[in-house]
Amino acid sequence: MITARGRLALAAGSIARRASKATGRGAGAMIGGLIAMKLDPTVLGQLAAGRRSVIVTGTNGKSTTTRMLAAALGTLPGGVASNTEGANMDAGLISALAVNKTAALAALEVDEMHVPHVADAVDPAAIVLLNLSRDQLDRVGEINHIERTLRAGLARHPGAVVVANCDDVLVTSAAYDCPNVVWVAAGGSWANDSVSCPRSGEVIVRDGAGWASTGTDFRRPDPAWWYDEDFLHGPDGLRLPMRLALPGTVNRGNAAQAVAAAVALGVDPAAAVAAAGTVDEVAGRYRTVQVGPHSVRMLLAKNPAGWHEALSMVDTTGAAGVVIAVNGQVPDGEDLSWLWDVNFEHFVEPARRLPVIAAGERGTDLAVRLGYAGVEHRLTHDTLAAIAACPPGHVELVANYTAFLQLNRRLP
Amino acid sequence: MTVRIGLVLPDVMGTYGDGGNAVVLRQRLRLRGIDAEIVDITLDSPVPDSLDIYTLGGAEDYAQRLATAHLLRHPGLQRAADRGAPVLAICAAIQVLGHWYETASGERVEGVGLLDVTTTPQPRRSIGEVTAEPLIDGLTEPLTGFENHRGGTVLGPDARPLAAVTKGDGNRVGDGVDGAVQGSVIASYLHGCALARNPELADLLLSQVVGPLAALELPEVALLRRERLAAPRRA
Repeated sequence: MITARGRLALAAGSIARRASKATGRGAGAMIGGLIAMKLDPTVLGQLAAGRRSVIVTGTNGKSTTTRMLAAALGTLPGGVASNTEGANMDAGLISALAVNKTAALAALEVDEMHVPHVADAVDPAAIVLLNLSRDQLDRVGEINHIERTLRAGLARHPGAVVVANCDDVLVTSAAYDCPNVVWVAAGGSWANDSVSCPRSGEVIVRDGAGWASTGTDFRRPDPAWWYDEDFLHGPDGLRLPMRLALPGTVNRGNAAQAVAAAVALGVDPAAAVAAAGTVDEVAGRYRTVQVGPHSVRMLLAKNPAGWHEALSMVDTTGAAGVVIAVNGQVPDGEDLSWLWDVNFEHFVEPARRLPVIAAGERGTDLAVRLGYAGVEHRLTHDTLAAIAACPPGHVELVANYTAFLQLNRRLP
Repeated sequence: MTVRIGLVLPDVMGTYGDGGNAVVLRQRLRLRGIDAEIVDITLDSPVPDSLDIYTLGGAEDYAQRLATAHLLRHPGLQRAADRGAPVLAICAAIQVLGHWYETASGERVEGVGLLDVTTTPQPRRSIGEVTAEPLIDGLTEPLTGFENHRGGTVLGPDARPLAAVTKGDGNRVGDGVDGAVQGSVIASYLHGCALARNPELADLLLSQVVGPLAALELPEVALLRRERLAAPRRA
């Protein structure tokens, strides 16, 4: 139920959103939500009332998983509201819910640190926890602080189903005390941030997929859902063929969590897997664009864990070149030390067959990293020029956040 | 001979790409035709004292404490430093190698004691690009790096500063110096990674192991130095 004040706030926000779109100053989601929130701070809760909402959070994979979840929830009647523009704080959520007031369901991507108060406002039916790792080095607080904040926020919502990745030590810690957890083995390739136990400070020991703390009774729970190269496995011997339009093992993990959450809300498992499999592009990522004589596949990597994942998706078979673009603006983080944590040695062999080009505003940092990794490479700061410098054919492109946005704006 | 580079506790002390320092050391030897290898020293084994050179990097709260405890329990690094093996300590490693450091919650943690320094939390974190003029023999070029630390480090009489800061904070806001040099240990708050941005420092460390080194022309490294030395420090 939306109050009179809430209606006024939303109307003002809606006018601002249309004005922002009409003047071409933005997609409008942020400004409309910001104004509505200013006029009525309780508007998010009012908009969410009466719907069944799912919150999706984690360092990486939020947008992709939210897209897959929205597709799966779409197989239920009633419609789905979702913040597909990727604006994942209060203003973006308000806008997403305001443009789709009648939808009975909501798939909401939420920034990690915003989960506690967003959950208090929307009273979610389920919360999906993907993974937690270091984001931009120079900006974000310590990862253990984020985990403790999430843990405290979840404790206030014992009725919500928590769909948590048990391969991620920090996510497991955040969800460990919740009464209603569905554990999913969604994978966790980046162990560097979880050598120490978030609950005791002692060492985490690993044995195959398993892990356990040496300081307290805290170990990997048995998953209800897991996946392999062909199938998604679920409760009671459920085994469904899983084919995804998106590349990479990490997206199979994202799909597993999206499906588990959708099933918790009553979606038929087979229908959920089929729907998640249709997602083929997320805000310009993963799409292939024709740029003159080059077909360019666009991969985004925002942080060390994201780079590990994106580089594992780069397919040099049949490619005419690889372009890697790095910026160091505020949203990227100004500190690019993480370049030294990424295994660029991976490109030593492909670089003998095809050009590997360092690009972006901080392309020189990357070029030095590639040089010390023993990867033959060139340096062309302008990303489009770097693509043009490749022989005609398919180009694999990996970029960090603002480098990706800049290129996307210049592409058809 | 093969130069063996000890990368100390990369599993807990590698917050800021500091493993890159070992890669730079190895590659700068190999590019000159000298065999070199990196030995990862992790929490599940003692610290060997037999390696030629050691590097340590940054860490966050719990991890820093685990590293300190491990180095005290298995004092191979201390024995190697006593016989003159070069040690490069970056960021939290300065704090770990000092007499003690105080955590953000006010607890005092006993350090390894290789450096005559102590560390207490500053009111705010020091974050951003740093430029500094070196103060020790063998270095003539300005140092460049990125700092990100809450701890403020004070030097005792047995430790000398590495450099005079011309942009950024260094050891502690207002002191105007970065790093600590004592015996064979060189420590600095600059990461980025440090030796990628400061090849002269890399070669200074290596020359203590293999003797004088021929110059190495790497145009991209020279370009990176020009870019980073000119980069502004954001407010």
